[in-house]
Amino acid sequence: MAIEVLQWVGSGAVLLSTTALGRKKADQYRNRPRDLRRLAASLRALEADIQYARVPLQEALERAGRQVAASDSPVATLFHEAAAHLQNPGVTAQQAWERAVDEKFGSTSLSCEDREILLQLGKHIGQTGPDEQVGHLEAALALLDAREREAIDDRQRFERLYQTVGVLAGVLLVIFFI
Amino acid sequence: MLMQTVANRLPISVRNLLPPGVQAVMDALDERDLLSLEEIRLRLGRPLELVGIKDHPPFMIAQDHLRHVLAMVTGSSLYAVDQELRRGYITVQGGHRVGIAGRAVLDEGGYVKTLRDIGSLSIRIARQVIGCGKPLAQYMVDERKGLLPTLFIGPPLSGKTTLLRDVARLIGDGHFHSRLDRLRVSIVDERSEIAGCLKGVPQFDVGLATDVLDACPKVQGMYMMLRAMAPQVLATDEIGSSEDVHAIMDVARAGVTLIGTLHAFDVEDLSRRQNIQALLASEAIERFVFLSRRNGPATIERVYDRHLREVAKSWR
Repeated sequence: MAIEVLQWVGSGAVLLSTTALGRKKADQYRNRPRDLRRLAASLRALEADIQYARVPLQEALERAGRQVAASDSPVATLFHEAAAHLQNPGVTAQQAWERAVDEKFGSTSLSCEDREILLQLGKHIGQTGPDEQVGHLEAALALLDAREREAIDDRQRFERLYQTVGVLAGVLLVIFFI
Repeated sequence: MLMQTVANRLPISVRNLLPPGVQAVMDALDERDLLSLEEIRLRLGRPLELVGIKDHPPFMIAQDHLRHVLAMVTGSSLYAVDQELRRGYITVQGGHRVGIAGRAVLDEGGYVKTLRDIGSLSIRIARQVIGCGKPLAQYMVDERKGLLPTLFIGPPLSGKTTLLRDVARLIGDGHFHSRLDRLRVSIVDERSEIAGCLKGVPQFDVGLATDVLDACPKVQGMYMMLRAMAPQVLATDEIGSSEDVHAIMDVARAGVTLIGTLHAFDVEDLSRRQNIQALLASEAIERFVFLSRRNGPATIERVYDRHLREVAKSWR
């Protein structure tokens, strides 16, 4: 009797957790295009500030973060965080950017390849004249644009898939153990 | 307390510009050396040079070191300092001047557009020497005429600007001479070196009754301050061009006392220059103070009057 109750509880827990895992994976696919879009919008703002207004980088990063519709979204905090790091004495733009990417990347839905694009951009940010800065930002934006199209495709293919896989894996495990 | 002494040795605003490796070199120096340090020079692929210090451990400068300093100097915004690059130097917090040399990029008209491939940086440490202008009071104040228009003259690094800053402070505080009340001083600070302004606030003590026009071209600035601030004394740096001399004569005609600096080696060098001959003829300047580094920066060598005759101490 007691064993049976425990079995039910255990099976429920397994099912719940695999479903949750599947959902999480599916969420990543669902949110990635949105995060990529927000990232691009912020980088465009950064580009304009650098090219036309020549706003100092620290302030420009801060403003780029505010471009994102939800100002507490992970992408926005990435920019705010970079701006905050840059305020510390002895910190270069590259260090500030890399630290912010390291800290905030986990909470975004971006993939490892997206991360590479960001780190590549960090190597040049603030270190050259305005024309070259625009060049580097444009290159990053072109790559991100391609990634966004890819991400939309992936979402259509994998979002439902992972949700279903989560539930099914749970069922399979339960049957297997019982 | 410890922070205080460290800051006195090497201004923290300078230390913050340096990459960790160079900071370590500086931290290993003793206090006397750091006090005599005048310039930190970084050249790509060559050892670090510390001007003012005889002996220090060698340290090779790599591209990353220059990049670090450049990022600190520009606030990681090289794109925002085009104008400064065109002039060849940037003034940073604390009034220190960072000279930059690299490869010039020209525009269609053949003017320098910007610098790239930066290979040399020279950080010139600005120090305020409180009270160094005091010995000049006996030469610069006349019983009848009051404060006399004066130029501080000397080779580079002879302490001209340091002296100008302290005299402006003493006059603006009313402590220059016992017979001289506090006067309104206007500083036209084209290179942000005299007052070292950061966002409108002088980083150096330039006196209570002192107004600063920061980063403004000298000649324009002198007329602006004359019109806007009704100064009794006008202080400016590095006089030389014929426009400068013209402006000085106008300042004298307006009844304002000018104190300034001029780059020259000795009195022969000075009197050979055409612009200066015009200035001498106008008698707009009453005192020429020649400086050297014989007994450390801002050593007063000789003082001449408007006819370039040597002056003895006038009165106390």
